[in-house]
Amino acid sequence: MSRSSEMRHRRAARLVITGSVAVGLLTATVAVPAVWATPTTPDDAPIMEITAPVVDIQFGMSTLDGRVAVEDRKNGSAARLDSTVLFGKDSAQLRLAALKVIDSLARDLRKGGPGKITVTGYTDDLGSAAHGLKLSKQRAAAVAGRLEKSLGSDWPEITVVGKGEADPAVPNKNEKNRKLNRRVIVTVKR
Amino acid sequence: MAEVYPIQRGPKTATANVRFITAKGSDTFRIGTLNDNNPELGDKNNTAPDGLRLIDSTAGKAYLPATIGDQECLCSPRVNSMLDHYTDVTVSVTFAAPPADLTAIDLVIPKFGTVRDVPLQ
Repeated sequence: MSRSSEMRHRRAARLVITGSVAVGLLTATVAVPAVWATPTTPDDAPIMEITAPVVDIQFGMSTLDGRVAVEDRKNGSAARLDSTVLFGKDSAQLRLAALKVIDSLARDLRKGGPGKITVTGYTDDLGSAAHGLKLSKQRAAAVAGRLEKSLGSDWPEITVVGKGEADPAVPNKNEKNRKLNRRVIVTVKR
Repeated sequence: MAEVYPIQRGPKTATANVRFITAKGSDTFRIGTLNDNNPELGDKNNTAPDGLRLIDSTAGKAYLPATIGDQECLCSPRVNSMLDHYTDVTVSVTFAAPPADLTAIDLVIPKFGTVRDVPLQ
């Protein structure tokens, strides 16, 4: 690098540091230096390929109480249904209100087009693990049955999984967390 | 203390900006306070401010923070940094854009409550 080129670089660096930039939410101020430096390219500067990936944004919605939530995922969507909305205590019989929730979910799923659906039931850690496993599978099957009815025959068969108390969303350390773990997850892969 | 700014609406997204200030010498504040404590919704980490919600009470819907990749919310900052005394941080969370005819929307901030009718700009 020639001496004059080096001098220009030093000058540019100094000016960048002098020109402080303060960005706020409503105001943005730029302290402009008295003299702007002319950008220069040194003869031996390496040339590099710029790569800037662009990724899709996924959105999600829930009911006001947060008990039913549907979120887009990279290859489909996932819905989280709070078991207390769907079932009574220790029951796999869908409540009347649950039918409305599942039918509404089916309408949302239909908008995205057919896909491979998996319904997975989970319980908290209260009671025996075997009972939780059985109950979670029965609950998942109940949700899947209603979904199949709502979606119609043009959708692929739904896979039903019971996980019981396995894979808790959060540790079962208090009732608030146990409530989060009593859930049915519906995933769609497209 | 929290300062809520008008929500910036784009064609497909809307971004909420809230400035949190530890006004008193005894105050401290962690970003993780704003987490929804549910790794299955929004961000998978419990350090991100993914507990913020936009509430469309007319439609009866809550907007969850938008995500990219593998359940990473479009939130800033996503780390559980702690604010010391007399400092501030601006938290940004992006959602899906509410309907165009909506001029204001409620914003839920965990631990702070609901701020009604935040302008959509």
